[in-house]
Amino acid sequence: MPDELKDWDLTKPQRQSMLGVVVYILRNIRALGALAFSFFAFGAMNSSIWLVFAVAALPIAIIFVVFAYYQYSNFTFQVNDNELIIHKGVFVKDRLVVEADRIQSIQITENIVQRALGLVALRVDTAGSKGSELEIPALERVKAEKLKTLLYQKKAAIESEGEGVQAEDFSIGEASERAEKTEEAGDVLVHLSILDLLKVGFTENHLRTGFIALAFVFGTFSQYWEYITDYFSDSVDSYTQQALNAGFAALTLFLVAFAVFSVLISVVRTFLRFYNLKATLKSEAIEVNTGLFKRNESRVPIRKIQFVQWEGNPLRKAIGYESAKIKPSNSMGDADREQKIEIPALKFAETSKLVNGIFENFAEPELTVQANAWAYARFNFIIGFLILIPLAVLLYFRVGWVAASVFAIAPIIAIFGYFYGQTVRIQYSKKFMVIRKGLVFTRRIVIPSYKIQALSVDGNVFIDRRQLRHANFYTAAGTRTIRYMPEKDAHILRDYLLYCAESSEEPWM
Amino acid sequence: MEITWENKEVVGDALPALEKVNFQKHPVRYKRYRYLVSGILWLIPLTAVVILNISLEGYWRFLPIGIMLVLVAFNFASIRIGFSRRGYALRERDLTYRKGWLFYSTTTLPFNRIQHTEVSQGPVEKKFELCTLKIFTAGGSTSDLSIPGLEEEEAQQLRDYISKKAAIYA
Repeated sequence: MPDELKDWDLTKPQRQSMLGVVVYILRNIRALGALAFSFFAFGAMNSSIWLVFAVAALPIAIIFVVFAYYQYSNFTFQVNDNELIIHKGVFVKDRLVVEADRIQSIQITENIVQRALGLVALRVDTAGSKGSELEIPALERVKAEKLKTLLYQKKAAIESEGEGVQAEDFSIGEASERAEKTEEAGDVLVHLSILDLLKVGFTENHLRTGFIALAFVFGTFSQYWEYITDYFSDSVDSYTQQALNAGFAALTLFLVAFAVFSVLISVVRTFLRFYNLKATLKSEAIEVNTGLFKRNESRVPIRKIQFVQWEGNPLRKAIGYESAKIKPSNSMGDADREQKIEIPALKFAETSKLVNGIFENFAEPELTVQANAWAYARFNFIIGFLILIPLAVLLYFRVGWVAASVFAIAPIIAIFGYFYGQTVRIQYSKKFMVIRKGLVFTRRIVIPSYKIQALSVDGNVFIDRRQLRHANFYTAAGTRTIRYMPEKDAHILRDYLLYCAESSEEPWM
Repeated sequence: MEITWENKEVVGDALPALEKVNFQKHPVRYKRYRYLVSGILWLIPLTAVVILNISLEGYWRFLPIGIMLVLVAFNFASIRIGFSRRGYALRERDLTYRKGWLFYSTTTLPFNRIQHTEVSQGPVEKKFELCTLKIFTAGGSTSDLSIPGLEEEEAQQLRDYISKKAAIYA
């Protein structure tokens, strides 16, 4: 701990860094962005507005600064006993209290402004908090780190007091010692290099979309070129011919540009999100630091992790990578914005390290239920057929009854459905359930069985006859579904998973 | 409080099966309540179509009304048939709610996963002396469960029972 922080007494109300005023000013400007924009739009139409602007500029600026100053000066935080207390608000004063043991995770983030000022934001997530309510937006990094450590220590201390619920039984002193120890240690799981980022960026699904678009254009182009030229050569004069050529050239160019653009977008996006990504596996938490301009440092206690979802696509598989999404229990206010930590490139060896680090004693579950592949085929056939009807009608007016041949596509869609359905399965045991699905884009989801917080088995008249059911697995981090399971298996699975959840006394969120 | 699970590693028939449980039905006036609510909702488009009808001529103008009446009939039928299949079941460690006719679902919530419970009553529900029991789980709204059409007393009792169970098992 640096010496300057020796006298930093968190039991007394503390202000943020004075530079926080700048942060607040910029935030307010951003918040008013839409309003300002409409003003400018007015200004473009009526130039006299600019005069009003020029006159109003100074007082507005003063109001901004004063308001931001009060936002800064009215914002205090302190840690009393086991509570983090935040006072804030200019017109409406708020007092926010979080008990340390209610804290789900603490995140330190910095955007480009905060970085320039040498500040970070500290956000506390609890199970019941709304979005960014519990945020200290302008702290020096050392202070933020200290506050974070302190809160985690308090949390660990309270939890170790709780009788028997937590297995770890250690005194407060030990807890803080341990917390500090884990702060140093940790096993670096992945550290993405520039090359890795390029690989990830290029193997995003956008590339596939781009290639398919290109292949489609060139394929159709060469295939029909003869037909088109034959059709037009006699009746059409050279000018139209040229225009037609130009049209095709423009279309091709557009699609090439589109493909390049989409790849570029993916690469840029990858760099922005995953630049210098470093995932560290610690004994009780996983930490991921990532981002180019907006650094995001998240720490998720392993106990809060509800499930991990691995995703792969053929290109990534070819270079030996798959991506992992780690889902902790959602904050309630964040229900729409699913919280997740994403590691875009894991080598297979790292994957097993991640699995073993997060899920103790992970073993492939022995029992398997396979979805009914024919049901997927049937579903695809019907949906495909329905989609093709308008196309067929459209073509009928052009080519007559030949249009009916488009329905030949429906069986092909159905065959894809069948093969997809064959990949859909769930394996389960007392400890874990593993859901697998996906033909080209594969998915593997590992959920500890006791984390299930509700289950539903759905049916409808269309699948009644075949005795199939859909099973929904609800966790505190979202729902996962398996469709078209045999009814008997679905019921056995439900009863078994309920038994797993109900007989478990481990904390699940 | 402590209940030992006996058939520890057994799968299949040895586990308590949910299908064998008796489901508690709603009071019959809940059906009337639902007729009324959907009746009121249908009234708006129905009036619109009737008004439109006056300004039209020819027999085909009755077509929209006809279609709408079929839909209303279908809606009422699904309330009627759905009513007999609707119900909740309490077990020692979980709560199950079943509903739906053409598309149906059976949702089960273990007591040790419940965050909090709430009893609510809207103005129309008040007239019918019915209540809705809402049960909240963690992490957003996807797995929350709400059981409408309960007797006032029944809803309170259920809520007390569930909160007590939730406190024991949590």
